Order: sequence, then structure tokens, then C-alpha cells
Amino acid sequence: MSMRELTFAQAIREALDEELARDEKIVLFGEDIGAWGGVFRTTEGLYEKYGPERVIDTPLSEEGYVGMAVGIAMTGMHPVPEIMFGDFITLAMDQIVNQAAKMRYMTGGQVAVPITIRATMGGGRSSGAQHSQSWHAWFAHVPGLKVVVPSTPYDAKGLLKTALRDPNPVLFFEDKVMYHKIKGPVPEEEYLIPFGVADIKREGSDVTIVALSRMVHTALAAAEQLAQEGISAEVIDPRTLTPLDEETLIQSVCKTGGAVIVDEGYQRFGVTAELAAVIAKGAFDYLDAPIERVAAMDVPIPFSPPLEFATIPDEERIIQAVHRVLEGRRPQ
Amino acid sequence: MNASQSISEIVMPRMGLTMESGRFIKWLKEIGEPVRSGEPLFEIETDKSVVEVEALEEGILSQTLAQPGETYAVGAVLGYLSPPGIPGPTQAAIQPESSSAGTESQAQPLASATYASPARPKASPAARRLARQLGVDLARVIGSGPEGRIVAWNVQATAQSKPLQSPASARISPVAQRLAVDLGVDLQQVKGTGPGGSITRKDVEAAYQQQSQTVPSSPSSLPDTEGIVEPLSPVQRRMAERMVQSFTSAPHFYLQAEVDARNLVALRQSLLPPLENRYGVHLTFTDLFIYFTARLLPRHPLLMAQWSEAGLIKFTRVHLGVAVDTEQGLFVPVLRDADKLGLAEISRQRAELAERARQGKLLPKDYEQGVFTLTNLGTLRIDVFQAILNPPQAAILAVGRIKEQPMVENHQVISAPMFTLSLSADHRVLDGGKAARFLSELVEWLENPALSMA
Repeated sequence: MSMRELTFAQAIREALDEELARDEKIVLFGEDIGAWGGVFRTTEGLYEKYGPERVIDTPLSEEGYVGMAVGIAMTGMHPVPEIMFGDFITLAMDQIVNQAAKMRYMTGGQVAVPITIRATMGGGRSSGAQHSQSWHAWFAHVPGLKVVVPSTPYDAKGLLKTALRDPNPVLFFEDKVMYHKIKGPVPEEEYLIPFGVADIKREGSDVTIVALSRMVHTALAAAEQLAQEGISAEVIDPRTLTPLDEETLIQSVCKTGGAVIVDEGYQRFGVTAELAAVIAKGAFDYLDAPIERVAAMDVPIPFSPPLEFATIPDEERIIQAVHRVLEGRRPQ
Repeated sequence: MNASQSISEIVMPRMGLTMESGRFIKWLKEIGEPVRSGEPLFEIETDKSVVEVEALEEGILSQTLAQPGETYAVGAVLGYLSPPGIPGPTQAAIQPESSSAGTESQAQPLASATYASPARPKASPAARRLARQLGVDLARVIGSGPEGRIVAWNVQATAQSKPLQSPASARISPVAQRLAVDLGVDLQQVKGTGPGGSITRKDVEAAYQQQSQTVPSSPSSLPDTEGIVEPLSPVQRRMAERMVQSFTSAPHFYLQAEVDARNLVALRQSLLPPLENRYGVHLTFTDLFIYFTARLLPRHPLLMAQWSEAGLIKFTRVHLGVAVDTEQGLFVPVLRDADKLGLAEISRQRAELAERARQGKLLPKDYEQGVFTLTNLGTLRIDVFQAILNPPQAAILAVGRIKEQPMVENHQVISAPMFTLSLSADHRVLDGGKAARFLSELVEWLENPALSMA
């Protein structure tokens, strides 16, 4: 395969471009995604290429255009509404949770809702309490929705293309900070990544770090530092929360005996809690220390940069959690 | 007894991997006195040293059961802490001053209070699984995890240090089993009086009473002799047990090599003044031996390995033990990660540990987890000696006296400072060739210290 380096945003854009070309049923909705190319440049050039009927600028009206998208999905289209700031997905909650997620079930399978909702997540940009949250856990809580949380350009493109071919509602979360900061190899050739397959981003033997979205990079940096101390950390990226690849998580922890779970969403009742429960059950007899969780502090995300960075997981917090998991666990 | 949850037990702690009982020295608090968590509460003497034990919780010392000078099994209840403001369960009943009533009533609260708060040993699920697989009783395992939690490798270490226990063939009630674990009673020693010889709660209690009475230092049967029998101190007893274990289970072999010490003597001479001036340490030959041995060991990892039925246990961190002779007996404090320490730091730590050993103030962390031992009797005029392995280690290096001796060099007899190194090794772990390569490389380094930098 021939590779080139793309940013996270470029990988998303390329997936959209290829799928728009492949399937004319695909239409994009969103605020400033058309003529402006999207505030994060993920739809740059698509308006010019596919026209105003397939790349549609909407008013600031998440409930309206997500509801419209659910409606046209029921008629056989595959709409892709974008929530510029994932925080405001709350406005479209009823359309997603009570309509999109339920329709196939309530019609006995007669009506499918093929819709891919792209939303941003993540803090660290001093955007304040209403523009910095990560709400992926909410949707992983709802039966009938699939939730994708990619961490690399390669994964983002392959998973988004899979989402755009899925006959069910998919929530696709993109971390804002990664759009232009994270670069990685992406093959020229077409490829798809199936849902429900975790990726081992780094192999290790002493402790398992489970992380998703941007936190994968934080975990990898922590693992690199831990390696300097002689600690071999395995970093696993579930890539999709529903469906969840439980087997890979459990097998890794059976091997290492300890787990640290990292997520930028809130800790309380969050993704880290669910993953910890899956691991605690599946790897119970192999756990040699309590599972540690590293997530956003249970407070509104502060605007002040020092305070904001204190609430979001960083390398240091991950390393400390690994040390707690390994305390006394190896012959000195 | 209804206040069980609020009253906490003070138990004989396990201060080291091999400690099974401890001699109670004295209380550091009076009955009725408030105790803060972390405050020294009582003193015990273990196999290795006298240590102050801190209170694990806050409360009021409401009852004392342990008698100074008596020996108690690990886990035995020594007394009780009541929460502030709540009187102890038997505070009124046991008036410390009215001594005669005290002794009789001690045994009772001891056993029943144990039921009230059964202390299941804290262990990780992985450790429990391993313990089931290997047939290891968790009550015998020392936890190295946070707050003493038993983790997997602790179980492995225990399984390897003791013959595997076959699952108890005698039947035993769950209550009795729990109690045996709590009281540290060895079920192999308990005679069952229940139906079909099964062990009951009463049997365990009886065994515990007997155990806490017989363990105290008064020798049970004196040999028929005119000599005076001096009771063994825990340190003596422990040393005897370990040496017998080592000498009878590990097949020892010994290698000797003579070392030309001219360069080593010169090296020490040149380093002595600057180290003294800059770091305030007095550089000894032992420090130099530690320095070179520790740096060489990682190149010969088998010298740091340990035998176990399950396989060789290998270590990568060079925790080097150094034998220290004291009035109380032999101690082997450990310099941690000695291969990473500079000479001045080695010298400082070695002196500090030796001083603590002489004062009987070594803590378990000071002498545990050594992987190799160095012993030097040169200062006591010994030219050559062979050491018994310090179990479970597989190698020990004995250093003799450096003295001027005739040496042949270029067909001439000259006088040079020389000494002999004797390496004892466990043939289950390594063979003569491997031991010889280590020793000969060490000799090369000592004869030509610059080689160690290559």
C-alpha cells in the first residue's frame, strides 16, 4: 500500500469525499459546512464539488436539521449532520434518542434510519464550559445507536467510511484538538475498518492502558515515559464503544494483571466505569490490583487554561495511575 | 459483644516475608490514652530487629492483652483500640490495676472478638487464583501491594519458599478454618475432635492457646547436661533455621581466585581523600567490592537468580546484600539498585545500614529482597573462607584479607598486596563454568579497575 501523511481533518474530509462520490444518497448537513468549508475544515471543497443540494448549510438549529436528517434517512437517504460543537448535540437529543434509535425497532424492521451524526468532542482549547465537553458516553448508553471514537487519521477514515455504509444510526465523535495536530499515515487505496474491533496501539506486558480518541495519544506518550522506567504498558484503543470489542480488553488484562482506563469524558457513570466493569468481570481472576480510571474531573470544564488542563487527563495522571496499579506488584 | 464494628483489634504484624511470630516488648501507650493513626503504639522484636509498630487507626487504647517478653504468632490479638468517646468492650471488666482478675479473662474476648471482625487476608483476585492453583494458604503470604495487599508474585514467592501444602485432608468447618487463618494457627498441628476427626472451632482455639503458651522463650525440654542452656534469641533461632535450610537444600560449590590488589589499593588511596573531603565518607575496600560486583552482576544474571520448583526466578535489579557482624548476630542489609550508585553513595549507605544493624534498628525494607550477598572477613584477619548461601539467593562472595605476599612477576619474586575471593554458588541455579566466568571477570576488574569502564 502506498501511504502518505494526512491530518485527522484531512482524513475525515477524504472519507466524506470518497463516499459522496460513491453513493449519491449521501448528503451533508451542518452549520457553515458548505461555502465556508466547515470551521474545522473537514468539508473543505466539498460544496464546490458536490453542490448545494448535497452539502447543505443550515441555520443554528441542531434540533431542526437533525430531525430533518432522521426524516430523510427514513426515506432511504444517508444524511450526515455535523454538530460543530458536540456540546449542542443536547438540542437534538430527542431526534437522536427517541426517534433515530427507536424507529427500526418500533416498525418491526420496516424502517431503517441510516444516519451518521458527526460531532466534535474534547477540551483543551480554552473554549469554555459549553464548548469543551465530550458526550460520547450518553449515546453509548442508548440501545439502537452505534458510537465511534477514532484516534488516528487512519482509523478515522476507515471507520467513517464504514459508518457511511451502515444502515443504522451512528454517532461519530471527532476530537477538535486532533483535527490539525494529529497527522498519520493513510493509504491511497480504499479500505474500511469494521466496527467492534479494538486496536492494540502499543504492545506491553506489565499493565493495560485503555484509551480512546485523543487520549490514545496521551496514553502512548505516557507509555513511552513508563518504558524509560522499565514499565511495559500496553495501549488499547477500542475505536468503537458500541459495538465494543470486550474480548481484546479482557485478554490484554488477563495478560498484564492490571488496567488503567483513560477517557476525556466525565468519570462519574462514564465510559471508564463501563469499561472497568467489563474488565472486572471478564478478567476478574487475573486482576492483581484495582482498576484505575483517569477521566475528566466531575466539574464544568474551566475556561482558564491552567484550570482546564488540571481537569482533563494528561500524561502525568496516567503515569500516576499506572504506578498505583503496579505498586508492590513486581519483585524489587 | 455488640460494638464489634467500632472496636478494632491490635494484632501482631508481619514485618517481613519470613516472620511467623514476634516477641512483644512493651506498650508505648497507657490504657485509656488516645492514639493517633501512625503513632508508635508498641514495640516488638522480630527475627531481625526491634521495631516500633504504629497504630493503623485512631482510637483509645482500651485493652492490652499482650505481655512484655512473650512471643505471639503473627495475627494474634495483642489488644484493642476503641473509637474516641466509646468505651472499650471490656474496659470496665479488666481493670489494669486489679491484676489478679486480668489473666483469666484474657482468652475469652480474644477469640470472640475475632469472630466479630474476621480479617480475611487482603489479596488481589489474581493472587487468590494463583493461591488456589498452587495450594498456598494466603495466611502465610506477605503482601507487598498497597496496604499490604497480597499480589500474585507474593503467592509465587511463598509457593517457592515452602514445600507446597497438599490440600488439607482433614475435614474442617468453615468457621474453624477462618479462625485458624485469623489466629495464624497451623492446621497441620491441630488434632480434630469433631465427628470423624474433623477440626472444629474449639480445636483451633485450643491449638492457639497452646501455641501462644509454647512459643514463649522458655525452653520446653532442657537437654540433660551440666552446661547452662541459654535460650535462643529470635535472631539466633532464625539464623540457625535459615542456615540449615540453605546448607541442606542448596547443593553448594565453591570457587576460589587470588587477586593482585596493587591497582585496587592504589585506587582506594587516590579516592580516599577526595571522597572524604567532598562527601564526608570514608571509603573502604568493601565499598569498592560492592561497586565492582554490583556493576558486573547484570552481565551475569544467573548469579542473581533463585531456585524454585516452578522455575528459576530471575531478577534484574541489583539489590546487593552486605553481611554485617554485630553483637546480636549476623545481619545482611541490602543496598538497593547498587549498580546505579556511585562510590560515595555506596559508602554512605553501607555505613548507615551497618550502623542501623549494630543498633538493631534495621527495618524489613533494609534487608529484604537481596539478590546476591557480599561478606568480608578480611578486617578480622581471615585470609580465606567459604560462605553458606544466604537463602534463597544462589551466590555469595566471600572476601579475605588483603596482605603483602610473594608474587612471581616476570620471573622475579616480588612483594605485592594480594587477597583471595571465594564464590559459593547453588548448583541448581548455575554450574561451575558460569560461576567461573563471573568470578574471573570480577578478578580482572579488581586487578585492572579501568576495565570496568569498557
